[in-house]
Parts: sequence; C-alpha cells; structure tokens
Amino acid sequence: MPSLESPKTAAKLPYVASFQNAIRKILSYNWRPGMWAWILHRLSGVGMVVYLTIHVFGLRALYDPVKFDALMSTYRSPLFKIGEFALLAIVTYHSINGFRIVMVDFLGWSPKQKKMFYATLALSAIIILLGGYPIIAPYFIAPFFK
Amino acid sequence: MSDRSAKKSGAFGWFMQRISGIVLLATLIGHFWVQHMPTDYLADEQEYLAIREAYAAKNPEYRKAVEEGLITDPKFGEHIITYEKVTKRLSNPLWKVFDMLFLIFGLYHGFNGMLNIIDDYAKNKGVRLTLVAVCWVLAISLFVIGAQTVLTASPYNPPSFSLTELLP
Repeated sequence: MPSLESPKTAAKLPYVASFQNAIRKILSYNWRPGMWAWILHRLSGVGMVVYLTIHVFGLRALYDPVKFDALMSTYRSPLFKIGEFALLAIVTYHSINGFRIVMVDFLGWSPKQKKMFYATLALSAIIILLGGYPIIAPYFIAPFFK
Repeated sequence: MSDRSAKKSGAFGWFMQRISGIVLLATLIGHFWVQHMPTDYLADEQEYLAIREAYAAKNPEYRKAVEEGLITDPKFGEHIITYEKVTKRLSNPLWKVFDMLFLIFGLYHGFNGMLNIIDDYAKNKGVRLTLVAVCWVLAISLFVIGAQTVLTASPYNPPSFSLTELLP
C-alpha cells in the first residue's frame, strides 16, 4: 500500500497551463511501447490526410499532358524525393501498425501486442529500406557511381 | 459523452475503420507498386525521352514546356510518371474501378480518423462543429475532384489539324 506521502496519492496542486508545465506533463507520462505505437499511428494518420488533400488537388492536372508532365517534373526534385521517401515511411508504419491493431482487436491477440509492436518496427524498417532504394537511388546514390 | 445512446456508441465507425483499413492495405500495395516502383507502369529513361519527343511533335505547347525546362530531363536509372503511361493504365476500366475504390476508402478512412481525433481533443461545442463541418466539406470536395480526375482520364489524342489553319 502506498503511504500518504507517496507522490502518487498526495494532493496535487491545480494544473497551471504553461509551456514548461505542458512539457513536464508530457515527460511524466509512462512512455511504454503501446503509447509510442498509438502516438506514431495518430501523427502518421494526420500526415497522410494532409498529403491526400494536396495529392488529389494536384492531380487535377491529369486532363492536360503539358500541365501533368510539368507537375511530375517538379515532383522529381531532390527535396520532393526526400518527401516521397518520408511518405513511404509514414504509409508503411501506419499500414503495418494498423494491421497489428486489427489482429489485436479481431483475434484477441492483445497479450502479444508489445512483441507485435517490435515486429511492426522491424518489418517497417525492412520495407522502407527495400522500397525506398529505387526512389532515392537515382538522386542520391547513382551520381556517386557515374 | 454520457448522453450517447447505444446507436451513437461509435461501434460502427470503429468497425468500419478496421474494414476500410484492410481494403486500403490491399489497394495501397497496388498503388505504390504501379506509381512508385520501377515497373512498366512508369517510363524508364529511354521511354521517357521517346514519349517527350512524340508529345512535343504533336503539341507545340509541350515542346515549349520542354524547351523552357518545365518538363525536365531524366536522371540516370530513373523511372518516371508520365501522362502517357498513367492514361494508358487508366484506359482499362478495371484500373478505374481500382483507383475509385482507393479514393473512396482512402477518404473515408482518413476523414473518419480525423473525426475521431476531433472527438478526442475538441471540447468546445462550436469548435467541434466547425472542425467537423470542415472535414465533411473537404472530404466531399476531394471526392468530386478525385472522381472527376480518375473517370475523365483518357489518352492524349489531339486533332490532326489546327482550327486556325482552316481560317482564311
């Protein structure tokens, strides 16, 4: 039994909203793997909605070959290639972690969720490296071997 | 939300988020394979140069864009998304169905996720209503724009004569 002096049971001062307090509060969280999985899933999800919006608006150019091929040329710059690689990373993590969530929810595999999170990270890393190579190579690797 | 009835428990949204996620996993692999990996659905260096030349011969505006550097040269070993290859793929109605499924499930899953996030963080009723409305307007607009893009995409086929040539 925790004593009354324990910080967990002691009366707390009212929370004052400030930048330092917000950081302190976030750092006081118990950052277990499940929490990392959740926050990464949420952030990558929001990132993809932002990307999807820009993507669908941009692809209106598909009615005109001049506009479309010029747009694709813009996307073929080193900065956008880094973006494409980041997109692959975000999409891969979100997909595999999403599949982990489906297995936890539908197959009752919650006792295995932590191991499955580590497997998610490992599998994501492999797919990101394999799928990312052809995206990155012509811009950042091939020039060194020419 | 204590005043929620069983009907509004969110169980349907929770279930559909998982179902749409599974559909997206399949469509996403297909989409990434044809649009981002070095397959025949993209143009390699030689094909890209050939396509560019053929389009420039057919369309003076295309030639101008190439000359001005708006349509750039290929890099060594690069595979490139082109109008020619994308519209060729989309001339198959099955690919149109595939892209429509990807669009519909992607928008549903994405904006259902956004509604979940709004549900978690936006406490003020007015703020909630505004954010939910923005989500709906954005999702419907993107559906209309995306569906139009996919359904009307067709191979480039310019008229064999210019109308100005017919003028006296």
